[in-house]
Amino acid sequence: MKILGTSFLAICPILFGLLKSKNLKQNQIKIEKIIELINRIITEIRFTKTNTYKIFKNLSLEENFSCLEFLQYFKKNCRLKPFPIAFEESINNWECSLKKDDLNKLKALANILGSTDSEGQILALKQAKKRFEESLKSAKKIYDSKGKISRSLGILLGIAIFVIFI
Amino acid sequence: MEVEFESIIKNLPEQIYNILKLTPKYVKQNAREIKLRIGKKININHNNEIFYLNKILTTEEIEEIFKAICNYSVHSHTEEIKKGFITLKGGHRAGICGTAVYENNKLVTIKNISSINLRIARQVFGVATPIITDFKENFEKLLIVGPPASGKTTMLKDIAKNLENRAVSIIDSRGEIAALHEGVPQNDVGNADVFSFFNRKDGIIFAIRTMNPEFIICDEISDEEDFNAIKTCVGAGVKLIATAHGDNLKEFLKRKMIRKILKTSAFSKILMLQGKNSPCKINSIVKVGDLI
Repeated sequence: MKILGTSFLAICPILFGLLKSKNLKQNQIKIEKIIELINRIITEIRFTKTNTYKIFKNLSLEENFSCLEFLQYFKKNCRLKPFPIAFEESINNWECSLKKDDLNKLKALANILGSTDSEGQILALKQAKKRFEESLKSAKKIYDSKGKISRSLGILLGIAIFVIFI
Repeated sequence: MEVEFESIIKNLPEQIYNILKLTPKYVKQNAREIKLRIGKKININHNNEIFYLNKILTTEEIEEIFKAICNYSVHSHTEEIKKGFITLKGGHRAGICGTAVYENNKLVTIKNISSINLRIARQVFGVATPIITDFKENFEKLLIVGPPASGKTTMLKDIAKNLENRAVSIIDSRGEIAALHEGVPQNDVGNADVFSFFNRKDGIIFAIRTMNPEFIICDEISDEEDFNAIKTCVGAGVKLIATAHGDNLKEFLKRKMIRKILKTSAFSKILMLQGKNSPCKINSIVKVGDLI
């Protein structure tokens, strides 16, 4: 019974450490996907001139972007709503651990998309992409430092608890 | 007309929609145009009278209206913007006015939109029935002639609808016949294939190459390029139904290019319309062979 209780106590910090590390990795992946998404939007605007709503509806169907859950919310709720409002709403309802600053950068796309001719939008989207590339660099740094620390500390703390209480 | 009014204002931002929704029923029923200008009251043209709504539009509101009528996809409407209008859902049109931007002497876009004119579209059914009935199986090679607002395009739309069991291609160079919105014709033009915003020459050649049409329908023929395209049509054995400007037959036949076109035997009959005061009413049908 004592071993079982101690094991349970020891597992908690290990799981917490792993979860924290996983979240940081997820953030990095999400930013990578956002950059990929911007690249795809640029291609669609440049070559197909597809309607903004349709671009997002089509992208939401792609498995590749399934980790950007806000696309699903947009697809379900964009009908009859002006694009900027529907887009912002979908970001606001996105439950993710991205930094507020990154979410604001994403929300800023609402005012770029569909508001000017192709050239204007592509230039603005390239600027937005650069900003996300900066975010990606910092997310990678955070993961490399804090991710490893969280994992190691969690495991060490778990072992320590196990040793102390056993 | 109330339905059409409702359908055009649905393209606008919610705030403007809610204001226009309050328009009195008698105005909605006869409305033809809604004019939206920066710093001016919204006005509605109905029965040759103007009804003013108590709402002065700001620059930001006009910008928002412009984005909304482009369905928040300005990039998808670049070609239309260059032509000065956007086709809306329901076949309506938004004429736009602002500052022209030229590059190498070519109009590339319109910026600083200052006013928007929403023109309410109506499709009139049955106007071509008398011609279709008269011509029966020999319905072919027709040139519809009339002054502006005499109902030439309305007649073309109805002819296209009446030919729904035949292979018809429409060269909609001004987006007025089928009024394609996101690939869907907003006017009922039967089962016609629509070449939207193609110039007539390219459109006719594309249609013959790709869709194997029995009939080609196009609007407003007038120049040398049209003449060459029409010759292609004749050569391919495709029947042409087209319109041309002309106040009366005598003046119409004085035009050199028209005489040249008629000599190609592209048209077997000319249908003269009465005019602005009796839209779509037929004045006379003349055999081209009797004229040349």
